[in-house]
Amino acid sequence: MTLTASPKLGGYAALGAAGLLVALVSGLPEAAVLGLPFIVAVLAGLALVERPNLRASVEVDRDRLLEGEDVHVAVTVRSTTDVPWLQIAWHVPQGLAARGGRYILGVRLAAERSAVLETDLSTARWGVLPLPNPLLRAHDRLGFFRFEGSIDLNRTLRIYPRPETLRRALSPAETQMFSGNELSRVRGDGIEFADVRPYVAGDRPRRINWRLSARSGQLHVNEMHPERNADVVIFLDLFSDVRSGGQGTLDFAVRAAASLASYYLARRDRVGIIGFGGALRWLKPDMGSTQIYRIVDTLIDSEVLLTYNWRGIEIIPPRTLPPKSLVVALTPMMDDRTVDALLDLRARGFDLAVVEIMAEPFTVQRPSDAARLAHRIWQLERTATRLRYRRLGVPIAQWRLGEPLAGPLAREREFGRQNRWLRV
Amino acid sequence: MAPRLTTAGLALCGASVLGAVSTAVATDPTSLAAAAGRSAWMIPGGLSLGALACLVVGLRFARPGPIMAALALLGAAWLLGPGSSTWRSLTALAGGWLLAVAEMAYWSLDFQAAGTNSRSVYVRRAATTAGLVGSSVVLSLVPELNLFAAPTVGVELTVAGLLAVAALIAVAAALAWRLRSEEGSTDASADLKRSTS
Repeated sequence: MTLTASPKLGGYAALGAAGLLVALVSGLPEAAVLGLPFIVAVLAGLALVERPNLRASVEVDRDRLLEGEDVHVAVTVRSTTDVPWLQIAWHVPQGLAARGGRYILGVRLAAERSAVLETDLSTARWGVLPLPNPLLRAHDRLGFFRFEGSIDLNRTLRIYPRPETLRRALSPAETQMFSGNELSRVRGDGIEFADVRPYVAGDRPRRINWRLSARSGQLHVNEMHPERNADVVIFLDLFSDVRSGGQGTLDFAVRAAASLASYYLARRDRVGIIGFGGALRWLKPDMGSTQIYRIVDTLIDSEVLLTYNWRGIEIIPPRTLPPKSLVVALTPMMDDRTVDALLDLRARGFDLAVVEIMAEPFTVQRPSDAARLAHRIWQLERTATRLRYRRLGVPIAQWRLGEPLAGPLAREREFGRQNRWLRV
Repeated sequence: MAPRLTTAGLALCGASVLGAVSTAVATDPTSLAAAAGRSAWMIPGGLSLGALACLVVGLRFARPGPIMAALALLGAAWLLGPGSSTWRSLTALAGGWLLAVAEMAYWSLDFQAAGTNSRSVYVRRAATTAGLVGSSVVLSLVPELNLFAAPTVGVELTVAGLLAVAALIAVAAALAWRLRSEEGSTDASADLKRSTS
């Protein structure tokens, strides 16, 4: 622990010395008498100071939690010496808020006794947060010295985004080979009726439509749509994050990505993720319960990285962007690189849907005419970009602040129903 | 009331009392301030007001420098104020009072950090302060009561005073060196053993 002398020590020594000096110079013994208590205090402080011997431990009840959940932290300090005033301080990191308990505690710690500082921290936003080191400050008896140190905690909290429960999301245009919950466009074995056709040798008798066969005098069989799984790639725009008041577009994008991943993985679809930004990151599509953990672990590390050395979408391996996969893009549409990359994907024939996280609620409009004009031009440019997507048959829906994710997804489904002819 | 405000209030009250007494007794014709004539009380009064202003500034902005200046001004006001031997004989008490004011003011600075302290912290600190002030007053009374038959003026006294100062400095240096050597021999990280779970 680091030893620090209080300014009081120097002040008292100076006052005592001044008293003696004045007494010697001016012949006033009262000056020495006035300064004597300060000299006594300094000498007593130097004689009585004792280095504390502290042992500290920190308990964190869990290090993985969902947004909005609380974590309980307890710092226990034990001393082998008597500490007249021990302060245990806990710096609440940004992104956490002290909900209960105390985060600075001052106690008198008797020898072989322990003191506990308990704090409940509530989480407001997903992310990986290193827990700060608790600080200890021990004062000596007379307040002349401070012994300060910190407990090297080296722990991080992994706060996962809380997924929204979705009853329906977007249906992919094409399905894959494995069985799943998505109704395939092709015909085969399944339970959903598709059509009837004349019987050919090799058809299973149980597929014969007896009513139609009796009426037409020729054997007909029913055709079915099989249930297949789909490949879904969640495209996260990490080029921009419009923030205001502790919230930002990236917060909503990550929550939406977690919700979509949970929804599609529950339907036995293969889900992958692409983080497109200053650092291009991807996760190969896969199915199963472990994939959701991989995805959320990738998501909570998401951040906007400003760099000129960014890489385009073309370097992503083909297995990460499989053919016939549905690409759901989550973007505030603030960066042209993302807009171009998505149009590139559409040109390559991917089934693309864009959820635009509205940046307007996070922007501050200045009252001047020039600012109003600039804001209007900016909005017109965004409208033009939306029209570009729609002309290419890409459903794009705006996700407004406070609206459930199901809202924009429903609007995109409606767009898909009305514009089936646009699909390539 | 918050402990910081309480201790600051006590320090201000103590300083006011000491300043008022110094000013009130300055009218004595034997006081040093009496050389100023009929307005003798103005010298210790001004010094006391200056001390209060410094104290307020130091406590408000949590700066130790103005507190030290306030203590020096209060001491100067006491030296210039009382003239009669009755009041002069109370210098040891005034020194103790000044120390109590200083303790309260610096204690107030220690409460800058927010948070809660257990009651035992206050009790212990108050008891320690009281003990320190009491013992220092008793020790100050030794020269005040002329317990040792010593000359009141002269080269001998000056030499004795210088020797006493040198002895005090030596004692303080020895104590400080003890602390320094302790710090050097102790590994800082060894003091704070980590055991996280």
